[in-house]
Amino acid sequence: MPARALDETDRALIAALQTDARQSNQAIANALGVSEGTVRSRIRRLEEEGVVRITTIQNLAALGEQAAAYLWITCDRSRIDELGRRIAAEPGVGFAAATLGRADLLAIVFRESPGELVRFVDEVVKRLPGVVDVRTEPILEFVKNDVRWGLVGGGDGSRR
Amino acid sequence: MLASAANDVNLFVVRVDIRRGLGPKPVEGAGPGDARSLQGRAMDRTDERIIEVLREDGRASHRAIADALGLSPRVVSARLDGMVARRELRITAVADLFEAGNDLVLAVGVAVRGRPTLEVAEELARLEEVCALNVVSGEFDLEVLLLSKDHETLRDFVSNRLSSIEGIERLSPALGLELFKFESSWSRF
Repeated sequence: MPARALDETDRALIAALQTDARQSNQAIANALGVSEGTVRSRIRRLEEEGVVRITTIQNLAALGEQAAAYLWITCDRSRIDELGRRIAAEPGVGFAAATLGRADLLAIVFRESPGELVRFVDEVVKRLPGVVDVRTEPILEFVKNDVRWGLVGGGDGSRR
Repeated sequence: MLASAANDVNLFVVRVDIRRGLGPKPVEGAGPGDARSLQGRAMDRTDERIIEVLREDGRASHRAIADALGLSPRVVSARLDGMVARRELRITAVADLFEAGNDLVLAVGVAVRGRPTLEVAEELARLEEVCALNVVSGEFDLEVLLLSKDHETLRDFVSNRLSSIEGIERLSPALGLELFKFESSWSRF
């Protein structure tokens, strides 16, 4: 799927929503110098086409203690796709990708406690058929998380 | 990338020691630096249900949320304003990284030598291409998630930006071949 060319209005609209996702269509329209109808239809289209998701971000500080780790998974290569999707569907997994180099799959997982994290690795990931080895790299400090970007358009095979 | 149009309102660069609890320290010059600490007030079930609705549709009206949950719009409005004011919650637009023009996703392990790990981390965190950055334990000291438009942009980033940062002893990249999930539901702000 070739990346669609977003035009200037799309980009300005996305930036406006990244600043304040709940401002009114009219306020965005005024700021961008377009009509309210344009804003309304463009937001709908960007959401429907998987370009943008308007969602909640919770403050880590309000969530209490968290334990997180990078899991570098070596597996039967013929099952990378199936395992990647399976692991991505587990609660607390924020990132999952097939990788070239370092391991076959990378998952980044968040749990309520270190014990929960260990249980997830031992009782879920290591037991999946095709998983050969899991190397757990614990996160000691969160330094940066740029929530403006993510996978919105659904990991539908091919390159993604 | 939407870099030029993007503001840094949603770019949170902070330090949290998950062992010692909360000690947010905004990185200088990177993002809004309000480090007001939260008291970890437990959210009640009503707050959680409002978040669940907004997680699916961040622009749902107060009326629509109220109808879905059997509450009054005034309650929804007050609850939502309260959570936002207490900095427990933000509602924002997440753009698809591929649609935004990135072709490459890399997870790069960074071994640091001769300089404090956090200093190197803070310098790396200021780079636009660095989408996520964490201090880890093990073979590497830092893990960086890197987004890049194309091969040439990546080459320029590695040879001109990374090479100017002192204290990076070794880089070990993993190229993302297929992304199954990349979805953040938390940050620091």
